[in-house]
Amino acid sequence: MSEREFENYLALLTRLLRLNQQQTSALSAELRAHMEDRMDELQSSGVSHEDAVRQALAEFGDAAGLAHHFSDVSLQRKRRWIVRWTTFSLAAAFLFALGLITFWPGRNAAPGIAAVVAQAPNANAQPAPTIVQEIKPGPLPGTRKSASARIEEELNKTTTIDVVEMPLKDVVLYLSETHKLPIAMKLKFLDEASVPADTPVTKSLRGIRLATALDILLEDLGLTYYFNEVLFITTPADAKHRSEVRIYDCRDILAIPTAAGDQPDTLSGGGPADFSPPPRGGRGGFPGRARPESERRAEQLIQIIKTNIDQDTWFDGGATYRVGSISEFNGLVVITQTAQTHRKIEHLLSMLREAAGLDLAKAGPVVR
Amino acid sequence: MADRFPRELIRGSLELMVLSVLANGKKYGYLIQKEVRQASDSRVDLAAGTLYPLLHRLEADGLVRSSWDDDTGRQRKWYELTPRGSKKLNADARDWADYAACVRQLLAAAKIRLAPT
Repeated sequence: MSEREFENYLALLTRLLRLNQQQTSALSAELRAHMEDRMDELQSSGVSHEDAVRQALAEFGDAAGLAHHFSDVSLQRKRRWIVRWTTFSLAAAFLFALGLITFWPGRNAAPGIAAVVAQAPNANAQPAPTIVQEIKPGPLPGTRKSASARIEEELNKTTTIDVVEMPLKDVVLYLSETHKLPIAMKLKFLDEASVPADTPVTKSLRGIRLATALDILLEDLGLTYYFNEVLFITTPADAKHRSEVRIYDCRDILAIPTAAGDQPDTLSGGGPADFSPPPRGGRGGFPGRARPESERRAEQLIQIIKTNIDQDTWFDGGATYRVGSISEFNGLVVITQTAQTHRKIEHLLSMLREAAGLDLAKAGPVVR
Repeated sequence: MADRFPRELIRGSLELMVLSVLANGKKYGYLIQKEVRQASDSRVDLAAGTLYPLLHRLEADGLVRSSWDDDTGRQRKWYELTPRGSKKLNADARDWADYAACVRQLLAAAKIRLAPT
């Protein structure tokens, strides 16, 4: 326990309150003065420095609670702001719709401003449709991305957790605020696992990916997470049931020509032939397209995934239910797994591509 | 030392207590907290987590105003009553006295005997 802890507390509080720089420093200075006064008093009555910090901090109450009290104060002002903002957004949406109607290609009788602009530079050149075409029908940018895809993206961003004895729920709130992610704790499961929401957490993790930070943080508590629009913190037992199907386009790794007919980069040395031959059978060849070599590679790839990633989570036809299943069709690998295992698989595949000298940018997409 | 006052009892009069502490001059948060504690013989312990949000609300409502200075060797935010705050204090004090009289009268009618504390 040290003064640094109080600074962390202030940082969390001001983040939760979404204060600007000036407000942050004013509130921090005010609370810091109080903290120092209190510590002086405690220490002059014979309390040790460390205990004084601890006690003074405890008297402030948890940051989430304090933030809640403060936000009650500004609620009235915020509401006014929201009304103003909503009005503004409606006006903006209206203007945007108006723009769409005006510039819609082929819809308007008059050429419209965009078309005029596009043709202006050179009258006898091909009509340059760039400006007109940029306004496309369909969802607005940003709305297209699913909530889960946004979580996935955020999990890859770096984060910093530096807390001492902070209640888990505050840490979660902090991460939720700093990453602007919906995070929910499944309290029923947490309680069953005897990990209450106020379990104190002490961690110092800097500049690592949020996914890794969550893994480290939660593993210590015997917890894990999964996401489906919301990032849920729960027990491994609960998360196990939350599997999802993803399709990995591995035609580049397996050297199978894509539908477009172009020959993909091939693996140097004819593929990963050093692995022991996997068991055959079960796979019927596809009529007219016998590709024993690529089939063999697909079996090997499946084997590589199953032996290197979360070995005990793959269903093997045995009596025990296991969440993972994997199969391949024409270079498309279909996998049912938890989100965490999926991420590991994605990582392994990009490592394979890198090792084989394949262009990562040309790698096929993951369909989910 | 007697127990702390019940929370719900304090809740309704907290603002009045803070305004009255500020009636005799400007003070910073820590002093306000200390004065309330002393006046109540430690039966009202105004937590920082309650006091500062309250002070900020009073300021937002224009009942107190604040200023910074470090005359005491530490950068502090001092609060003082605005004319509106003084007016509010007087009006609330009147209400409070009437309310206390009302409760006292009901208790007298109920013939409740209070053991000396």
